[in-house]
Amino acid sequence: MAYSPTLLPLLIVAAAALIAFLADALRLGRLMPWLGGISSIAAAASIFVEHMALGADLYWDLSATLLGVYLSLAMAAGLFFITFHPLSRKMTGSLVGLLLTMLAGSLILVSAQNLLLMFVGLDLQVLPFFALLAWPGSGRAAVESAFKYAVLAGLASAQFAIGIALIYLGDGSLAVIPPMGDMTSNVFGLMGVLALLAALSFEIAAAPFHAWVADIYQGAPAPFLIFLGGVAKVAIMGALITLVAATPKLEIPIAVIAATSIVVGNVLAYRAGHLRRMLGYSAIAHAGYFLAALAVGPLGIIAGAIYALVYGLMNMGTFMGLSALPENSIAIPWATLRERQPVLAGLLGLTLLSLAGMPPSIGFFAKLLVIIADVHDQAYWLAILIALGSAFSFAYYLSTLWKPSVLSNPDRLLQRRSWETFAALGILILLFGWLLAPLGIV
Amino acid sequence: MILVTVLIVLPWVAALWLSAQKQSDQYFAMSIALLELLLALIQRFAPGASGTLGHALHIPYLGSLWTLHAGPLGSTLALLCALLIPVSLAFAWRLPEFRALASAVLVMSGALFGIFFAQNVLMFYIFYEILALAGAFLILRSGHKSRAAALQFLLYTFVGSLLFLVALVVVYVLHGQQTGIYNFSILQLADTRISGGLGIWLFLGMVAGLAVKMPVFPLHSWAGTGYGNAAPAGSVFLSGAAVTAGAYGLIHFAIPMLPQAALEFAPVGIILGAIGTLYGAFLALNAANLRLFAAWASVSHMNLVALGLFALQTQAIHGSVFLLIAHGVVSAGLFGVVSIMESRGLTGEWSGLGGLFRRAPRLGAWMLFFFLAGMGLPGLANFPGEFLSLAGSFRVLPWAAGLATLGILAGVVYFLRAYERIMLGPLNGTLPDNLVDLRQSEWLLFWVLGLLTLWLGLDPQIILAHLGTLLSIHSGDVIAGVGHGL
Repeated sequence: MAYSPTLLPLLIVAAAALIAFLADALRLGRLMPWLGGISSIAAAASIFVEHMALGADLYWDLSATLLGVYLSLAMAAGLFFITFHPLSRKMTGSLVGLLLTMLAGSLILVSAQNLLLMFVGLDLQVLPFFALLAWPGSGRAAVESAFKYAVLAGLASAQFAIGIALIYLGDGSLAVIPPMGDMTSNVFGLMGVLALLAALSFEIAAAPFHAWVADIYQGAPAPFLIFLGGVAKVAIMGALITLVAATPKLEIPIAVIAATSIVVGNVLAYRAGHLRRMLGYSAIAHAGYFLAALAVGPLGIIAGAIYALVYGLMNMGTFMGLSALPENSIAIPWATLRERQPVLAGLLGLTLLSLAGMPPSIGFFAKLLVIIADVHDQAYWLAILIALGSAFSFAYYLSTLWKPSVLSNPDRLLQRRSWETFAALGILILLFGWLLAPLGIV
Repeated sequence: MILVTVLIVLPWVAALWLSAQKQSDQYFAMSIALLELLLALIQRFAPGASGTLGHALHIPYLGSLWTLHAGPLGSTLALLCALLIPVSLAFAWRLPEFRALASAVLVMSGALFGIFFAQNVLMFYIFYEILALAGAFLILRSGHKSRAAALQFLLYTFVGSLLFLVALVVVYVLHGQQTGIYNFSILQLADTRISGGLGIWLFLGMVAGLAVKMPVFPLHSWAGTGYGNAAPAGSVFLSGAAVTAGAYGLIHFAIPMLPQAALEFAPVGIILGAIGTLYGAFLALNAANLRLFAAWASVSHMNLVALGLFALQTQAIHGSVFLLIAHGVVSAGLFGVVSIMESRGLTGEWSGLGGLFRRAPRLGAWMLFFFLAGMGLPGLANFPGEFLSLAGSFRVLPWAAGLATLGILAGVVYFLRAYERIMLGPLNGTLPDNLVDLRQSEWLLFWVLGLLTLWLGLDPQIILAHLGTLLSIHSGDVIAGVGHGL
């Protein structure tokens, strides 16, 4: 096969993953996060250079480039971050290898224009989490959540495969944008596309496919949730963007899923009473806001891509902050955290506000863009639903901010000087990220 | 540009500095507050000194998010706000929660200055949300530290303001589709063509966001829990300064954007304002304690402000802008009195009060003064505003204005009754024996507020004469052009 420039980022990441897997045997594991981070940055650079290149089955279009660059950089930041976390002490090489495999899958997902390739990407991305969520040293709850994730994500993958089969039965093609007509041109195609939609909605935890999310968020170790929320979900959102851009008939089912997710997510999150479960349930609402953007035309696709990116950034901030807390904390001990890691506490507070949509953080601008897209397409009811949902979300996000909580043993708080740098960078991005907008939209 | 930017950003920096300190630093906060007052004075009376106001932070499709514009109305309200910062801090001086209260008040004042000088509606909205968040923080961290009250305040204001945002986005998208210019600047959005049916819904959305802060009648119930739970020193700022943001938003943004809808809404707005005035008065009459009494009295007056604004009649709007400013000063006096009484260990429950005048004659005298001002005694601040807004709205919808007048009459009753319960009658046995009357500094503070009240009442022209220019150009046009023509 001839060399295809669109494959370059994938080759870089996959090669680094292979090296990382081997490194444990050579006792070079401690170096691997840095290698992984640097190769992720290289992948980001090559995506940026290949921007708009059309390959055999990969197409780095505008949203794919945006998300691809983000995913690689987020992976690099996450890798540098968990180097300082005790969980990464054991089998560091394999850990990095799994994470890089996940990145390779994510990059395929956002750029694939072929359903089979998309399936490969999905599995490459889901499988590493079976191991990651139950990483040695993370306790019984983590094993339980990994098991739940394995069963349910396996089901979603199976559904995705059935969807592909149905579409193939319908028009004999596996391309996302077939030359003749769209994928929903006959009844098999329609059923297939709906199956794909259901599978992907499951992965981003949109209602009514949301049952798994709170348990996983509660049990899984926080450092890996950085990757689940900040990388994996964003990649699935990228795949949804590709799918929706190709099949405009999906607007009504997506609008229905979006509305259900916003309502269900907010109500469940309000009643959660546990920090991690609240975050899990509110992820349902965020999936709803994202889908509300996709439910409306071309402007919605842009809004959706930006929402996915911002949502990923906010998730990274949240779980980087939570990584410093003991795994089973049900509220944030602000006093201790502020004393030990003041900047990280600031980041955590800011991301919670940003998730709620407080201006002038980027969370607000992302929501504003979604509302503009909805209003532009005259889906006023969705815009009002987003507004009410995000007003309501202040109730539970802010109550985590001001709920008094004490840590029985302050020494259980991880204290890392270097995390303060990450946190400072995160605060800058969350607070002033929107200033970069003029560079992106020319 | 620089002067106004400093005016907005300085209190935020100061609040950040305060919240990073280990113990509260009263003198630092007060000096920042006085500096702000000085800057606001310069901005109001020597607008040339600040140079031409400009714009920065240009975002494609959103417009410049830092577009400053100094209208005389904004500058005057900013001056009121800048005056209430040191007053509120002075009343809070000895409170244990001074640091939290001062940072909340400083953040709120920065947001208010942003609101008063914003020309971009999105910028206005951003500051408006920050104001609401800081207000909730104030309720949360001072006084009874009630989480439920803070949450209620937050939910009311955020649901309202997000509806405002959706309505605003609809206007923005329509304007973009009509002209091809996507920009949130009010100068652009003010000439959007909007059909009547849609316009009414949009105006309702905007009113939901802005009226909830004033608070206008059906959206008022946060005020009781909010003012009732925050420390009275914080309520000084919350009720005097923060409420002006909603009224300013109506005058400067909502009405110019949707003049036709505003005109159609006018009868409804007048009726709501009238009901609110009367209802607030009844609530004040039956208030369980002194804090709630002051809160409902403030709500009653703010509904009268809303009545004047919604009447869209020159006289009524002049009256209600005047009342807005007067209410800020008088309400500061009322909550100041409550604050002094609580600092002496009095709970403010009626059963623990009575005959206080014999123990604290100076406090009694000042309380009488502000109660008289509150009930609208001619010669004191509230009277010209109440009179003008009622006189103006009588020409639009007489029976509703008559209803509101009953509310003012009830004001005389509830103020006098409350005074009788607190100050007159037999000495209450539960009062502590060594009750301290006003200290020198508190006495001085009341003199400042009192002289201002007197000045506004005796020489209302100081504000009324400028009101033609005070209402910034385009809102003035709207009122003169499409109003009832009376």
